[in-house]
Parts: sequence; C-alpha cells; structure tokens
Amino acid sequence: MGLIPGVGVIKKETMLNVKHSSLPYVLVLPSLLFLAFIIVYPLGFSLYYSFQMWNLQISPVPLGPVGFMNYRTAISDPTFVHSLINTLKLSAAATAIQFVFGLSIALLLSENLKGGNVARALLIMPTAMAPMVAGFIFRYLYYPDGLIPYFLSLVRIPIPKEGILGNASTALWGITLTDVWEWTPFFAIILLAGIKSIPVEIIEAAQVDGASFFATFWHIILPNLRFVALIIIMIRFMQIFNLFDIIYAETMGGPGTSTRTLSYNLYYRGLVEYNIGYSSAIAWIMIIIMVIIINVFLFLSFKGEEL
Amino acid sequence: MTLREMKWAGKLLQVVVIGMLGILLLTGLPAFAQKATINVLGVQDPWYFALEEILPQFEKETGIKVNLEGMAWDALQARLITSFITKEKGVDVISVDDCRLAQFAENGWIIPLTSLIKKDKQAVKMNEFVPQVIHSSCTWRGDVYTLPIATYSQFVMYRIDLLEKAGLLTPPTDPADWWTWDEYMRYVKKLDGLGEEIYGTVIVGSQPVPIVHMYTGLEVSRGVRWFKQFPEAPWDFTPTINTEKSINTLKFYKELYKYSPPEAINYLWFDAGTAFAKKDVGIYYWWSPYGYLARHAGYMVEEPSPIVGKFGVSLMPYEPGEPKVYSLGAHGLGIPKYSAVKEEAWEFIKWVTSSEGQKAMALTHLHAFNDFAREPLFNDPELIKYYPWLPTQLYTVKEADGKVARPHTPLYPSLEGFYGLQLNSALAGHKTPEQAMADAQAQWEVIMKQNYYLPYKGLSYDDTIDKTLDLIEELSP
Repeated sequence: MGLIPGVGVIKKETMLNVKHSSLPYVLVLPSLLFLAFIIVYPLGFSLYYSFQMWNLQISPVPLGPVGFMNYRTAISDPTFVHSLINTLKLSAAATAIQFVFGLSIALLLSENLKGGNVARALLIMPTAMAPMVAGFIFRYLYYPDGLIPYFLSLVRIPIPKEGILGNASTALWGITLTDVWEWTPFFAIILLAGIKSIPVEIIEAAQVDGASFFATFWHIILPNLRFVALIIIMIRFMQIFNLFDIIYAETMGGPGTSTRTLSYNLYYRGLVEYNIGYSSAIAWIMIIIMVIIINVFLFLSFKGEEL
Repeated sequence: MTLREMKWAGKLLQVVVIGMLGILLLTGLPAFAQKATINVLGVQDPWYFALEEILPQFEKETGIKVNLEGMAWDALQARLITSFITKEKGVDVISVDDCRLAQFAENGWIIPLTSLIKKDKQAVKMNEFVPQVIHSSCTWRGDVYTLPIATYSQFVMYRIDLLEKAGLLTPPTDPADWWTWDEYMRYVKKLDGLGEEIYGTVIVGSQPVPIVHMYTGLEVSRGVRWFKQFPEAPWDFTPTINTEKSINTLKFYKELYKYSPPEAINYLWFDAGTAFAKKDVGIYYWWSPYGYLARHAGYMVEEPSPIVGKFGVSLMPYEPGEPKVYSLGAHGLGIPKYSAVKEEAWEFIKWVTSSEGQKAMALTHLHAFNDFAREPLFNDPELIKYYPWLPTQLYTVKEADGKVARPHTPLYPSLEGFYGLQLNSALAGHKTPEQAMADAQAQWEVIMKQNYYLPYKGLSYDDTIDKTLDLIEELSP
C-alpha cells in the first residue's frame, strides 16, 4: 500500500485493466502469427524470386539476381498487354451481367411464388459444378453444330462459321456466358438472403403509402442491399480477375490472344514453362493491379462511411 | 474386479488381439512376401490403358507391386517437377515426353540408364530398337536416359470411299515421287468439292501446343529448321524461322485450314481425330496413334466409329528438293534421381519396353496400342492382323528425326508456346504469315538471349544419328 491513501488500490486496478485489455491480444497472437506466416511467406517468396533469374527449364536452382528484368519482360510482352485488357473486359462484363441477372432472380424468388423452394434448390446446381467441367460442357455446346448456335439461329442471330469460340470477336463472350451461367445463381442466393433480411414492415409501410414496385425497389430494397451487393460484386470481380479453368477448357487463350487472360498467362509461364522468376513477377503485377482496383472501388463505394 | 468383469476383460483382450492380427495379415504381411512397391507416373495416352491391363502379369512374374498413376499431360509435368524440386523419394518410374528430356537430363532430375543397359545387354536388346527413336527421344549428350514405351510418327489417313468417289488414286504406302505436298493439296481441294458436308481435310489449330505438333510435321519436310545449327556441334541457337520457306509453309497450312471444319482453329489433338472418325473428312495427316483411335467412336471406348473399314493409311507427302524427314514424338520411361528403389524401377522398365511387354500391350482387349520402337514388332504377322498399316508406320519411324523436327533443347517448352501462339494468330487472321514469323523470330531471340542460349557459350555435343548408332552398338549384346 502506498503513502497516499488509495494509490495502491488505483495501481492494482490499473494493473488489472492492463491485463484485461492485453488478454485478447495475447490470445489471438498465435493465430495472427500463423496467419501472417502463411500469407506473408508465399508473398515474400514470390517477391524475392521475381527479382531472380530462375527458369527451371535451364537450371534447378536460381542463377542470381536480375533486378527488374522479369518485370520489364512482362510489361513489354505484347501477350501480357492483351491478357490484361482481356482480363479487365471479362471481369467487368461478367460481374455486371451476373449482378443484374442475379438481382432479378433474387427479386423473383423473394415473392414467395409457388415452387420457389424447388427453384432455389435447383438454382445452386451450376455453382456447385467445377468450373473446368462447366468449361468442357460449354465448349461442345458452342461448336457450330452445338445447341447454343442452334438456339441463336432460331432467333436469327448470326453465328461465325468458326463457331463462337473460334472467332476472335465472339470467343470472349463465350467465356463470359459460361461464367455467367455458372455464377449468376450465387449472386441470386446471396442477394436473396439480403432481401430477406430487410424488415418486412418497411416494405409493407411503403406499399401502404402506395409505393409502386419500382419505387419500393429503388428507394427501399436497393439501398438496404447496398452493402451486401457491393461486397459480392467485389468478391466476384476478384474471382473473375483470376479466372483460369473455363479458359483452359474452352479456348486455351485463343484464337490468337483473344481470350488469353492474366491468369492463363501466369499458368503458362509458371506451370508449362516453369519460369519461376518470370511468373513470380507476373503474379506481383497482378496483385498490384488488383489491390489498386479494389481500393479505388472501396473508396468510391464507401466514401465517408465507416466499414 | 469381480470374476464376471475379469471374464469380460479377457474376452475384450482376445477380440483386440485377433483384430490386430487380422489387420497385420491383411496389410502388413503381403509386404514381406513382395520384393518392393514402385510408383509409376504416366500420361494418360493409349499406352497407359494398355499397360494398366497387363500390369498383373508383371507383378506375378516379378513380385514387384506397381502403383500406376495416370494423369493429363499438363498435370503430369506439374506433378513431376514438384517431385523433383521436393526431392520426393516415392516416385520411381516416370514417363518422359521427348520434348522434356533435355530439361530433365540437364537438370540432373533423371538418371542416365546407360550403365544399367550395359549390365543388362542381353535382356534389353538395344539393337532391336529403330535407331531413330533412340536418337530422337531417348538420348541427351551421348547418354540414354529413357527407353521408349510409346513412339509416335506421323502418317496420312484418308477415306477410301471418298477418294473413290473423287476418282483419286490411293496415296502410296511406299516412297513415290508423285506424292508431293502440292499433290496433297490437290487431293484436299478435290475432296472438299465433293459436297457441302464433306471437308477436304482437318487441321489442328489450337494454340499453344497442339498446333505446333501438326505444323512441325509439315514444316520439317519442307526444309524449315528452327536453329542455325543444332543438334550437330557446334550448337548455334540463332533462330532461323523467319525465312521464305517458313512463311510459305505457314501460307500452305493456312490454305489447308480453308478446307477444314472452321472450328478446327480451336481443335486439340483428339478433336482432329474425332472429326476424321465422325465427320466426312477426306484426308489428313496426324500422329500415328490416330490410326487405331479412328476405329473407335470416342477416346478409348469400345464402340466402333462409323469409318471402320473405310479408311486407309499412307506415307506423308514430301517437298521436291528437300530431304525427306518426318516428325517423331515419344514417351520414354525414366528413373528419377531421388527414387529409393531404382533396381525395381529398372526391372519394370526392362519388362514393359521389351518385345514381349509391348506385344502384350498391343493385344489387350481394345487393340488400341501399336506405338512400337522395336523393329521386329512392326513385322510381326499377329500384330499386322490387328494393325495392318504397321509396315508403313515402320517406314515413317525410320525416316523420322525428332531432334530436327521439334528440337528438344531445354528451352523447348517456351519456344513451343510462343510459336503456337503466332501460328494460331496467323490462322485466325490476326496476323499475316509474314508478321507471325517475324514476331516468332523476335520472341525466340529474346528468350534465347535471356536464358544465356544466344550466343551459346555452353558445351556442345555433336548429336548425330551416327553417334547414336555407335552408342547402340556399344550397348547391344
């Protein structure tokens, strides 16, 4: 006990408070260290080797530092530039289409129509399929004598003679459609959950006030769905940015470079050519591009709001 | 403890002991009876399925248990390289694609088999192998690294009924002066003119790899060479693909595409074979396994294709004034450096690549394997009964040179990738043949320079067929 009455008690309380406030950190520290290790180590590994000359075609071990050579080679490679453009086009188009379709389906399912439960159960099936399998199925559906050109011809939409995937101006749309088919249900289910979480009273109050369907959708449903929608858009954009399976199964990046994406490029340099240094540089360029896009997106979407 | 409890505990103990003995008997004891277990990784080409069927015979004869794992080509390469980098001891025999041999050998990932063959000359019978196969796909810098399990050459396949309808002569099965590439094109055009639903030919157009496999069969016979000097010493890897010959060859290939199914621009290996087997395609050339694959409605299925009995096989055309060289591809079996059971792995390789092993694979229930490398098998009447084109195939194997057609330098995968992309771009009309070849040449130069192959300052090896003949003689009984 201190000389001044009560000081000792204060000290004891402070000690207890410190113990209390640091305890959560101590408890989560092992998990944080583990997470840091499994996230930071691979990133550090690839960052280090992106500055090394390490091509497994010519040597089992790195041959030494090469500065920014791998980055320069990647950026000056016309294939890389085409891949970047294709990736951005594909990510933006597929995400937008999936959102619009997914939202429409979610609104329909939220109406408690007859057979809604069955529809929900069936809806998840494409998303449960491996993208590689979806890619193979669509590859054959797209053939000039396949089902999709047949249906398109019924509505008088002209099909290129090389098939949808054989023509440079339609091949990327073919890839987009496969991804839309597979992932729109995912959007629908997440958005449906968002719609269901909106308090019924608000919607009912709007309807009592005579709000039309579109007014209810625009002023009540959409603002309440905003957070869910933006997060799911962000996640899907990132996933499509890294899309590989469908491209591998349907076109292998062709014809020419018309469907070659950054991920396919990375796969080829890394897992066919085994140029570890070069593919590490590509991976880092992809990370940087993605981080910039996501941060701009977050800034514009949640400006002035606390997340 | 009461008497009743003691009895119960005793019974429980009995059950535990009997159970443990049972488990030991089922899992552990057979291991004592067997010599060893080897793990074999292979690509799922037709040879894999044939091998799978005859494995019990090998296990019975040798007591060595085999875990055979098959996978797609890309997956196999990824699996192999991971096993090399991690020094995995559990991979004992691998199938090595000839275009990867130089890389694996140069990096020390597979062991040379030369000394093992020397010890087992009588069993291996190296002099039975067609020397061009050993030269093209099994050797690197004067050592044998693999023995061939499946050898693919290229030949022409045509529809007998369509040729008759078009009034065209049967293409030759023996060398003939008239069977030139120009004549081949005339055939393609005439067959294409037979009707709306008939395609003169079919090509493989998908980039990056499949198109290179078909295209190189054409370009090598028209005198195109990839480098200034390779495989003869001194090696000079200056690319030589931006030449008039090369551009004209690409124009020729593009012309062939005009008479193919339009979607052939995305055709992979098997798609071209399927198109020939299911559509009305007049004539085309491709890897030799498509001879037997064309008899089936799908890949390794029993159902016969609609063209069984309607197609024939002939030699590839040639270009007047150019040496007759055919392309050759092969899968060889090799032993990774880190295998812990090399002796048993070698036993397996000897058995599977022997005449007996290969013949047994050819006579499995689907009759879908005739990718031999041993000359006597091509003349075996029992095998000719099932694969009547074997004598023609032998000729194509003997005239092949894989090291010239698709030069297997360690950097081959990179070069092939860029080349395939350019060829495909030219077919798609994104580039003219002139632009495509100029771009391919420029990209190859960058790759070669960045990887210290241009100028080449490493050791050269005078890798000629004569050197291989000497090596085979040294290793033969």
